[in-house]
Parts: sequence; structure tokens; C-alpha cells
Amino acid sequence: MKPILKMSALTKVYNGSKILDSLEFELNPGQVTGLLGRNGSGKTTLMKLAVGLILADHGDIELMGECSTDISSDVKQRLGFVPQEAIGFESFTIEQLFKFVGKSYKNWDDAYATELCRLFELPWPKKVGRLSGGQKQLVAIILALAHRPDCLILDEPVSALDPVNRREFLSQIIDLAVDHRSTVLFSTHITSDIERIASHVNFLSRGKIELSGELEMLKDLIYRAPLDLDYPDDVECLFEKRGYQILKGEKAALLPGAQRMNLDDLFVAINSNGD
Amino acid sequence: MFALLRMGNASIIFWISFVPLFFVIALVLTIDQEIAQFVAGAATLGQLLIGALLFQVIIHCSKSIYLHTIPDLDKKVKNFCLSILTINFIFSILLIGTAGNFAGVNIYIFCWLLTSLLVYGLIKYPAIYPIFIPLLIALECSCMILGFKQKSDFFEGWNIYLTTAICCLGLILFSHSKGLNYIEKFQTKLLKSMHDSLNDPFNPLVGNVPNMFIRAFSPYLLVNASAVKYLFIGAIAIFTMMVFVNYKAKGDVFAVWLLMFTYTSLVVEYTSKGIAREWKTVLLMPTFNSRKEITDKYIVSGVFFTILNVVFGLLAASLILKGLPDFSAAMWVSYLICPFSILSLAWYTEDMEKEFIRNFIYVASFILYILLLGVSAKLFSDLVDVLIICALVIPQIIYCTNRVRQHAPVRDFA
Repeated sequence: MKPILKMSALTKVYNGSKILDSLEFELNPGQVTGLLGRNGSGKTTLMKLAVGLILADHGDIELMGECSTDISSDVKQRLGFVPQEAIGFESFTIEQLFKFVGKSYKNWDDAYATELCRLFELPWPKKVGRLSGGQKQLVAIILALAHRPDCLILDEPVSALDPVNRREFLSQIIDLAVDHRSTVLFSTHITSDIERIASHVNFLSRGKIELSGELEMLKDLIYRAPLDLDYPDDVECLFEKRGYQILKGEKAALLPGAQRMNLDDLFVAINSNGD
Repeated sequence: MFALLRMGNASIIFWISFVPLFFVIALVLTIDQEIAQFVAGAATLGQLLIGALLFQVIIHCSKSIYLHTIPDLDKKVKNFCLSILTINFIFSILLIGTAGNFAGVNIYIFCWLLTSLLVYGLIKYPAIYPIFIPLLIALECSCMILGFKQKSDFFEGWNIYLTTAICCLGLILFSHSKGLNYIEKFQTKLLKSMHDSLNDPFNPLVGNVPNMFIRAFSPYLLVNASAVKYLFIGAIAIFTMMVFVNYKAKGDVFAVWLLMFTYTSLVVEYTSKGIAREWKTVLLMPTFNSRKEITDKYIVSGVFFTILNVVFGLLAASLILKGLPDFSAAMWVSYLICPFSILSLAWYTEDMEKEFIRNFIYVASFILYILLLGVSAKLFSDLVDVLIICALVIPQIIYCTNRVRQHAPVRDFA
């Protein structure tokens, strides 16, 4: 099965510091993948590279079989992208914007866009420039969803949403993934959102994917144990931190003193600077 | 078409709607052969305005990520821009031909090529536009310098090297992110040391007039990290203006005054924006004890810049009136109006809140400038001189004071 998005040996340098360092990443069809990382860890850079908005210093990126910097119109038809920053189009009303953008997509579903608008209680005749930050984010989300893309890439899509809209948005993502078999990659700081909808999770730290895999599998296989605890050969020590070690393996659960970790704990452990 | 324009910015529609007016004025004026050259000025203005409009569209579009993710949007924008450019080019050539003034044809062709290159370059290779733009601007400056070298004594000897060096340095610093970082680091250090010295109770300067003056200005520089950038733009603009101006008629002095006129406007504009955006952060600085204090300083500085602006405007206007050469009124008109109008365009497109009325005042005053300057060169004298000064200064006063009032944090006391 060919991956929807494949990044190999990807390096991106900003002002002399490596944001991404020989990163390897794959997104397979049908996956709903959450990307976790601290502020400035390179999540946005990774997403922008994925859709060719910026150029990598080294490495290759393939999006739906094409080089990400030169994606064809056909691939764009199958792609949905929600940026972190403002969407622009400030002088359009929501209605005009949907009409304008909708013309570019063969599969644009006007009724679905309208329905989402109603669901998120967006003021239809209002200009985008006059909307609140959260409302602008919702408009960007609808723009990305309304043509039911095969691949949806969302950069911190829920950061400005209230809990009601956040819940509604997540359920839309689930519907899209289940009904349309779409592949979704989204970044967030909210681990509970990942637990709610993601099938896979990737932890981005120090320019690399430090840990990745199926969410449920990671939760079942990864344990925190005291540093001096011995473990059998079929249990792997992922890394050691001050005072504890992170073990991975089916038998890890049986070790004395081993504790199950939730995503929050794992996130903190991965990002606790290696000390 | 309008959707694409709207994608760039709403004010573009507003501005572009006035462009035909310039052509109409130009065409009407061709009836009188005595002021036929004026048509060339109007044509230049129209051409450059359209160029600036398109530049805005291109820049806005290239910054929009959707240009790269929505299918075929890039092609639509490219085709649209090129169509407008072609029409514009034909119009310009026709108008210049009608007016019988071919002096600036090379510049028009160059502008057209430049903008076309930008359209293609930015759309085809969006990721490299930070390199693309300075390269083209540098090319433009070089061409201008070379082109005007033949017409002006100014570019004999060391002046040409100095001008080129300053233009290039400014462009590199302004357009390259590393250069900008360097400027901002330097600025931060400078301001920090200034603030440290101001907060030192043993500093002999504390409490005296120059110190109060610095304290009044420092919040602007602190909140507006871009301030130094505009110094460099100022430097570039001075020399660009010198390139444009005919030195046989006190052009150097005129250029400096005119530059200062627009430059102080920019300072008012950007500092007020900086303050409006970040004045709450400034309030937390230990230098300022209360909102009242910073508001007072804000107003003092705003008023100072406005007065300075008006003074430069008056000086520029008086020099225009005294030094306007008979043989190239049209060129003077275009030299005066074009850079100014483009700068104004940049101001307006950045902040659209309740801009309509001010835009209207400005466009009306631009039309007035053209009419008054063009006509006064041949038909009238004293009365029109006064009107020209008013036309130059009054919109500036309205604009600057309005800007200060609109953004002043004092409104938060209500």
C-alpha cells in the first residue's frame, strides 16, 4: 500500500537551527494521525513542507505520489488543508468565499458547506475580515472539508475553537474518515482530542519523530518503570529519563513497578529534555 | 475578476475603479495641445497605479497559502494579472503616442516586463519570492540609474557609486531576512541602552528637555520593531527620488523635502499602528507609570510628527511652485504623484477599517493634484499656487491627525 504522504531524510533549517533533522515520516491511507509536539517543535514546518508551501533544505517529500513542491491540479482536488495562520480572503463574505472556492473543486458540496456553516453557527453574510479568530478557523475548516478530500492536513485546527465547536469538528473528522475513508493528519497540543479520534500518533521532538505507532498499541505496550528495574530481552527500553525508564513490549506490563502511561505522561516524558 | 481582486484586497477594487478616471482626464486634456505633455504624466500615473495594484494582488495572493492548495487558482490569478497588464501596456503606449511624449517609454516597458516577471516568478516559484523581489528591485534601480545617467549631471563621478551602493545595501538589508534580523538586533541593543540610561537616576540627562524628547519617542521605537527598516527605505527612497528628479531645477532639495514629507507620514502611520497593536505590553514596562503617561507621550509624538509632516509638505509644495520647469510639467507631475500614491496605496491596503471616507479624500486630492499642477503650469499662477499648497497639506493634516486619534490608547479610558 503506497503511503499518502512520505517524508524521507527531511531537514529544514531556520536561522542556523535545525527544526527538522533527517526526519522520516509516513502517512498511510485511511489513517487518522495525530501529531504531537511542543511549541516550536516543527509541527507547522512539517505540515507546510507536506503541502509544498515551503522548501526543504534536504530530503524528499511525496504527497499522493507527487513531489510536494509541484503538486498537480488533480492532487489539489483531493487535498484539504487548514493552516494555523489567518486564511486571508478578508473582503469576501462567507457566502462569496464558498462560491469562489467551490468553483475550483469538482466535488465541492454546497449543501454540506451550508450545513457545516449552520452547525458551527457562522454568520453567512458577514465578511471574513470581521469574523472572530475562532470563526475564521471554522471557515478554514469548512473550506478544507466541503469537497470531502482524500487527504486532510490540519495544523492545530482546534486551537481557537470553543468546546462545543471543537467536539462538533472532531465528529466531522470521524465521519469523513469513516464514510469517505479519508486520510487525516492533524497537529494539536490537546492529547484528549488525539485520544478521541486518532488511530495513530506521532511524537515530534528535537526535529525527529521520537515515537510513533497505533494509538491503542502504544497505550498497551508502553510503561514507565524505575531505572534499576531489569527487563527481559523481548522488552525494549525506548529511553531513560532522570529517575525512570520507558519500556516497550507486551511483557512490560507484568514487570514489578511498571506503570501504564497516558498520552499526557508520554508527551511529557518524551519532551523532558533527556535528563 | 472581482473575486480575484477581492482576494488581493478590497481596497484594490476601490483604487482600480479610479484608474479609468485618470485616463479620462488625460484624454480630455489632450484636446489642448499646449498641455499635451501632461497626458504623459497622467498616463504614467495610471500605469504605475495599475502596476502597484497588481503588485498588491500578486503579493497578497502569493502570501495566501490557498494559491498553492486550491486547484487552478494560480493559473486564474496569473491569467488575470497578465490580461490587465497587457491592456494597461496598450493603453499607456496609446496615451503616450497621443501626447507625443516618448521620453518615458523605456520605463513603461520596463515596468511592464518587471511586473510580468514578478507574476510568473511568484506564481511559478512561490518559495523563492524572498529572493526574487530584491533581485528585480535591484535590477530596476540599476536600470533607472543607468537610464537617467544620460540626462542628469548628478550621476557623474562618485555620486553614481554612492547611490548604487546605498540602494543595494538598503535593498539587501530590507529584503533579506538575515539583514533584517541584524537591523532588529542592533535596534534592540540601541534602545535597551537608551532605556537603561533613561532609568538611571544618576544620569545627568534625566529630567532635561532632550531626555524628555527621547522618552516621548522611545515607546514608538520599542513597540515598532520595523522602525529602523523604514530608515533604510527612507534612504533608498531619497536616492531613488534623486534619480527621478531632474537636477537642473533644484531637484536635489526638492527630492529631500518630498521624501521627508512622505517619510514622516510613514512614521506616523507605522508607529500609530505599532502602538495600537502593542500598547498594552508597553504599559507593563517599568519606564511608564500609568496609562495617562504613555497616552500623553503618544499624543505629543503624534502631534510632533504631524507638524513635521506639514512643514515638509509646505516646503515641498513651495519648491515645486518655484522650480517647476516649463518644458516637462508632465514629468514633474508624475515624479511627484507616483511614489506618493504608491506609498499611500500601501498604507490603505494594510488597514481597511473605516477607510472609505479617507480613501475618498485621498483619491479626490490626487485628482486635484493632477489638475492643479498640470493646469497651473500653463494657465494660472497665484490663486492656484495657494490651492496646490492646500491640496498637498490639508489631506495630510486630516490623515495624520485622524490616524493619531484613531489609534491613540486614550480611547480606552472612556
